[in-house]
Amino acid sequence: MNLFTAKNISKTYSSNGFKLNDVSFELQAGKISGVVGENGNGKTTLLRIVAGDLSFDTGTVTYFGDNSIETLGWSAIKSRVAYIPQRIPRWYGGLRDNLIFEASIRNIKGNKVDAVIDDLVEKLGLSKYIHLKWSEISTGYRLRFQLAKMLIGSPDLLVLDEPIANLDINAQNKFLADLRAIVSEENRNVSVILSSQQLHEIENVADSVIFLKAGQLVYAGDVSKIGETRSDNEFELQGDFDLAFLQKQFPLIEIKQIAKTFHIKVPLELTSSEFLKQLIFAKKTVHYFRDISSSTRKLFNQ
Amino acid sequence: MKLYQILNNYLLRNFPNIWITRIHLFIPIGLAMFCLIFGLNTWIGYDLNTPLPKGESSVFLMIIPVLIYMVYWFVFQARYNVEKSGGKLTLVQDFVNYFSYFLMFFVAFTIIMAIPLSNNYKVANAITKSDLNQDVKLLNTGYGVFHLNYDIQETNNTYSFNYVNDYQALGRYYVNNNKSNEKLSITHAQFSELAQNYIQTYNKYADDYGQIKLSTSQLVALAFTNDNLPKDHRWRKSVDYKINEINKLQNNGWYKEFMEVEVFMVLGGFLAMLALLVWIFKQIFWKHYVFGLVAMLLTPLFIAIIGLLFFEIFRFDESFAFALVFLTYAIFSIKIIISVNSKQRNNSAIVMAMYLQLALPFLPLLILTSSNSHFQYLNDNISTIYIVSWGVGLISIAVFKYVYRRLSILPSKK
Repeated sequence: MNLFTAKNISKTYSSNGFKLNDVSFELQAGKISGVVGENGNGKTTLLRIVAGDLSFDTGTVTYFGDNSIETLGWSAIKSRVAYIPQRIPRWYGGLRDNLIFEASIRNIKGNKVDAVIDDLVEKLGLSKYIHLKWSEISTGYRLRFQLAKMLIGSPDLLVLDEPIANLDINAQNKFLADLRAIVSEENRNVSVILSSQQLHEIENVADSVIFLKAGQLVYAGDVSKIGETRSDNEFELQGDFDLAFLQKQFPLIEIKQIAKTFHIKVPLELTSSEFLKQLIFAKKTVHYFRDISSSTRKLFNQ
Repeated sequence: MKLYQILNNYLLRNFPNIWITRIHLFIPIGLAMFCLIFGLNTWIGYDLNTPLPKGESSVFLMIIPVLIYMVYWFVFQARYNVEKSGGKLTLVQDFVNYFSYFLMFFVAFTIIMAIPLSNNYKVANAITKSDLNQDVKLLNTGYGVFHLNYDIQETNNTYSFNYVNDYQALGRYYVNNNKSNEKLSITHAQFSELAQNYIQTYNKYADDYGQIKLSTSQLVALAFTNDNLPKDHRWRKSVDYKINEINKLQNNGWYKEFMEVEVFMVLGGFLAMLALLVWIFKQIFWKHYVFGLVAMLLTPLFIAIIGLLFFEIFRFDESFAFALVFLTYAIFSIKIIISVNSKQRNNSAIVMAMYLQLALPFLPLLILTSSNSHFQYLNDNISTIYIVSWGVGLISIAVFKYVYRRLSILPSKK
């Protein structure tokens, strides 16, 4: 079921002239969608529109099975949408008390409160921190607690703006893995949309991706289908070779060098394994290699 | 502490709307502060030889701790919010919250009044009623003899004189004025006793610097020299005043001074508005709230400018002023209705809604005043208007709960 559908939505900020232009996409139950793009390209604007926090100028959106905003009303919509902004609002008091409060205001009473909280806390690896205060936990755990807080309300749509921006690589992977596990739970029917600049991590966890560039939708669809219709392969690599060597070794390719990294566009026939084989035969050492042919990463280079 | 934790946990799990008000913590703290201050002041007690304690300065003294107490409580109000966290409050729960805020302000007020109240209590209990009556009789008799009497006659060791009751303030309460020209005859021994009692009783109430320093024999001798104690002895007035105050507190009740209906009406209205301010704070974003407060604070300035312009320069009459005020109510209402039905959040409409809600309880009074501004007419109807205003204020909670929710939930423009 589509939990959210946007058709040709646009939003213009009169103050700086930025325009999110003609964006269409769908969010489905049980799926994770990643919104990627450079800074200031409209990711937060898009997420705020999904969360009902920001109005849009043109286009239409529907929630929870093609219901219009007029049909459902904002009150009903927002009761089913959880939005975690980039800067998580501070909590006060004990973390467990805050979770109990969240449960209590949603009419989860009696023993069920502890059952719901314990379950979430266990799944998100928060048991050790449950009796601490906000100031006593790290950014990563604050995010996890915020997620637990939101999940208590069993939202249908979970909107996360740059959730992993301030996490180290291990914390990022752990958080995204937990998110995947929660979305995959049988009794949950939640759709997650999250923005990030960590393309690799997002592509690892997301089912679909929305790529924005200067407010324009460049790509919206399944992660597995990125590059399906491509005309060439793209790689990123670093090693003990220089630009001249690559140009000599691969005369038909396009090469760009940014710092130590080479961005290489090769014909579709030259696969990544074939490419690497040629480097190895030339007795070159490869320090880093990534095939971005089917990644949104290549969209950044366009 | 354990009892508090049990209660706190129970409220958190079952009545989160009450838990967030934190009255289960702050009301006991407030009452404990009141009892502590009241008890301490009473324990310190009141010495009749010292001036009556003044309550006014202590009120100002208590404002600072009470402000700290209220700010600390208000900080808690900013921390948790049922509706902003995605929960829902019924109208009954909103009223429970509103009256919780009212109760908090009332407790804060009682803390401010703890010193004046305990001052009254300790003064009223500084002496028993019967002892005070006895002292007043002695003072009246003594005053008649030693301050006013010019004609004491001695016959066979018996002194006769006119009993003059000129202890006027005291006389109003204790002494039968018919006796004021009664002729009294007493023995020398009784006369000496009268002098001794007068000195003792007078000095019991007089401040240190206003004591009668004469011995009994000196006072008796003074009575025969036609050289009485000064009639308008200024220290007598302080004793007179002090006894009157004690008497008033004993007869009327030490708390009665603060229990006047008018005082309660004004206080009730004031606290109701403060509670409404807190209730509104819970409904809207703090940014709108701050704008609303600033708008209200600037209102007197705005009124002054309008008043100067229209009524001093252009000389419009009173009815024009009322028309302007009612027009403002109407414009605000229309703007809010339009914004409630809009697709986007309108920040100024939220501020206007706050402003309108706080102004609505004054509308009945304005309507009455505009129809007839005669003082007597207003005075006759003030109780009705007061009740109607309270009603309007309470109904506004039901109406504006919907308005704020609707206005705040709409997506913003940017």
